[in-house]
Amino acid sequence: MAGIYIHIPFCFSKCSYCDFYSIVGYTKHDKFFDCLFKEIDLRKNEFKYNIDTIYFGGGTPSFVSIDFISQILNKIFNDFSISTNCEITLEANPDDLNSNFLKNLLLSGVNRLSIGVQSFIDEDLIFMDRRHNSKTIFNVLSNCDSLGFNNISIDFIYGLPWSSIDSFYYNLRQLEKINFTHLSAYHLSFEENTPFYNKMVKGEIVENSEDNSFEQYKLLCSFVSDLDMNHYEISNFARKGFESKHNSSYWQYKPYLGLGPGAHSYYNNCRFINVTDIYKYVSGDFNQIREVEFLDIDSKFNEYIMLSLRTYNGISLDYCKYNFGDYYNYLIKKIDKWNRSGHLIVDNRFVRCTQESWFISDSIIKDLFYG
Amino acid sequence: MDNIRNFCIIAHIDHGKSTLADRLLEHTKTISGKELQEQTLDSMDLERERGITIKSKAIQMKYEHEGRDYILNLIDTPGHVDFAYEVSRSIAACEGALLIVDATQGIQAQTISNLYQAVEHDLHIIPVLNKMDMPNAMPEEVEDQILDLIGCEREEIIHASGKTGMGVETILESIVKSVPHPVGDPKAPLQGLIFDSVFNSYRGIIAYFKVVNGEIKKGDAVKFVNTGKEYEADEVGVLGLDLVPRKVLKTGDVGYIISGIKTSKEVKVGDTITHSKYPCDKAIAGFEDVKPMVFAGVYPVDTDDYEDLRASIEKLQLNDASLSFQPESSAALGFGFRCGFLGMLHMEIVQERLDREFDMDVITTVPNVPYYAYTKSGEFSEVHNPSDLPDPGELDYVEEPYISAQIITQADFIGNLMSLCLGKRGELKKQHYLTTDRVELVFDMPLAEIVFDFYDKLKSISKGYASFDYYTTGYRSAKLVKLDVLLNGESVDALSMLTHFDNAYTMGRRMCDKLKELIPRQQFDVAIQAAIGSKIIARETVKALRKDVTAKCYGGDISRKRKLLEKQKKGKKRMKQVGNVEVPQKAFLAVLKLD
Repeated sequence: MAGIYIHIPFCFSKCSYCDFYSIVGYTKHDKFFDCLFKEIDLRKNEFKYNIDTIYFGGGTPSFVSIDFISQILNKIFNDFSISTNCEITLEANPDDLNSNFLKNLLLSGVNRLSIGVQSFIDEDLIFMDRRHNSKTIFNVLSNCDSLGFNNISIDFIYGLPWSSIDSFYYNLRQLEKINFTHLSAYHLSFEENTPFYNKMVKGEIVENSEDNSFEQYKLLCSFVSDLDMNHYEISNFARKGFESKHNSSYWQYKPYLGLGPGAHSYYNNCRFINVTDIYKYVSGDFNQIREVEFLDIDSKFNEYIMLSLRTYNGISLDYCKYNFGDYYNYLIKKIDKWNRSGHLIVDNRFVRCTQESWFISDSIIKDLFYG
Repeated sequence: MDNIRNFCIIAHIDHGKSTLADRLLEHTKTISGKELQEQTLDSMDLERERGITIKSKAIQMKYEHEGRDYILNLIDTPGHVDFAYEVSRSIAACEGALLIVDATQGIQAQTISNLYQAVEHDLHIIPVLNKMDMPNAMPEEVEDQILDLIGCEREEIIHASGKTGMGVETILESIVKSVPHPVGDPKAPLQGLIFDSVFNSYRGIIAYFKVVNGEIKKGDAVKFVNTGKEYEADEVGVLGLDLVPRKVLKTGDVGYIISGIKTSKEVKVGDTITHSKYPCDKAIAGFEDVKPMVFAGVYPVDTDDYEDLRASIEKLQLNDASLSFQPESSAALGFGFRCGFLGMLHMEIVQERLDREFDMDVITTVPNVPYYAYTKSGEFSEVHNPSDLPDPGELDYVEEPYISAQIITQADFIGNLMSLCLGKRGELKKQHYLTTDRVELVFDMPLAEIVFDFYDKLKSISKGYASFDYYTTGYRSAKLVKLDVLLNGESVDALSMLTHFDNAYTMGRRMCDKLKELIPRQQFDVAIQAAIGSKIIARETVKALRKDVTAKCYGGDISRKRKLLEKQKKGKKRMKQVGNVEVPQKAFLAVLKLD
């Protein structure tokens, strides 16, 4: 089982919280896709896995012509061995999803949409420099419904500096009005070099208090569970069987191939990092644009702990015993401490966070780290 | 003997002593301009950075005047109150002193107390007004202060500048003409006064001394009177820029002796060197065993480094005899050492040298002064550590060391300085106007009160102008209590302190406040309490950590997030686990930074 990630680094405009690599005003999309084709040619022979998931992320994949998306998918289907029920996701901005685009998207093979809703409150959307408003969201979602898109993921941001528990509750209640299968709800984080971060440094906006953030998180958890969704990763909720296969593969340590500027790959015990620069990327010299990081046993152990504790499945003690035998006793001792304090649950040889302790999981992960 | 002049320099920090000394060395060609690193006499890095001479040095100069050759021995003195005894021994080895006063700043407390010592030892004083090249020099006003102090003629004050070299020739002439040559009996049994020592990793301890009576030859069997130890004089010589071996040192000479001594503890400043076979009748007066006046626990951050820390402190002690230490253990911090220091600056220097020269990461606990404890059964003990205080049931009374504190300030600041000192349990003993707007204040004060934030406060109240000096005067009975700090109900021995009863409540409250600021949020609430005995007098809570989470962790985030968390883990390792609470290093010194 393996996945392919394609990074489409173009945006109409930048959102004030986002630190993913993207560029505004770059028009030579054909040149970029030419290079993407070349990169596929270059990698197809070293990435010999069955492909179960394909994911278009960005940037804004819905911002480019649908023809490019179709061509890329055709090429991937030609060059790799693709599973029959392959999950093919495209990240989309609500604004771009007109009926025509949606129809063609279905024809191209995309079978899952991840829609950047972020909030149903217009003031929030304006403040985050989003292009759409709440009305657009409802229109787009009913369009998706009627056209037969039945696997829809909603992106949500909470813990905004000006948000209250009441405004967040209003936001959550809007979810009852729409059809969707998956929710990614992220607490706002201030990433360096974003407009939000700069505003915070200047003191123009103040981070939400920890207590308020925690209240919102708890509300989120209980509200979404009432919608009959499973909380299967810190920030991800899904109806049964609709967990993101692609994202889950990251947390399950499965190999993936990243294409496009800024994309990361993982296979053969290495993490590869493509250069985050569109101009270097389109220069076509692919050996120059990728950095390699070999993972030693310490790093692999730490990554395993970090990724598995983020999921509901948690750490498999048997997996650790088999793969990280030298660290096993160390790990057991650490887990025991957190188990006694009620932060970790040990259940049938698996160790996971509680819903509450997920919100301080970085502290737990750090402590379990080796080194 | 007639052509020898032994002199020292008395000056306040930053009054240009070292620069002027450099000029003297340059002028007498003791040192070439090339060799002249700035401020030659201060050779430790730390000294140069802090601009203070921690260990005194001596150097010999040759000077020709009116056809006669003279030997001038400059004995450098440390300029900080922590090292007052070392200063007094340096002064005892001289017949004259240059009193260097900054023409832009006037006389300071340190200068006055050292000057009094010099006058007591009958040294001839040569007043020098330094930094005369500065546009803001105020020669007349400062001259008035000098006249008032030493009662010389206005014309005798030499105007000089270490920067331009102005007045250097006049100073040298004046030394030759007016400083008396040493007097002593060349035929008498040997008496050498040790005024300093340094550690050399190849040659052991090198002791600096002045031959007061008699003479010493290479190979002589000698005895150090106060320690009673005997050695062979492997090498004697005089102090140029380097050591210059000689066959013999005669009465009045200043020089060094190397005799295979390995540790600085055996060489005590103020001790007398004499011959084993023909010893002198009695030692030179004025010897004191220097006693540490500030004690603090020094612990390795990583408990595994205990043995390394011991080795480092032992090495440090080789050239710092005034540092004392003995092993102690703390429930909170594990194994470490109770170290005795001359004062707060000395403590800071030792801490910094451990860090720089030995790369030791240490935690220093709240310092305290030595207390005398008397039990009801009449037993006496000296208490260096709050936990050593006898049980309240047995304790009869406690005495604490007192000092006479001398402050010189501009008259404008008197009011605020008075309230500072009175607030620190000071009693005003003397108020003396040096000039119309410069006042000397003398207080009797408990030493414990200046250990904490006194010096910083003094400087901030007086906008940096007031200067301060003190000497210990003895012990007085004190109403002391032991103030404990509890984290989540567990008493943390390393945070306990002895404090005066009247200060205990304020101190407890401020400790809790400060610790609340310094202890990071953890997975549970942390209760910080201050207690006297079983009575809680203050409380604060560090609320539990609510949020420490990475929102997104997808394919492109994994590597970066792992590294970020690994880095944070390293940072946490520097914290000390006390019970179940993680306490940062700096919290143990929190009490020093209370405001």
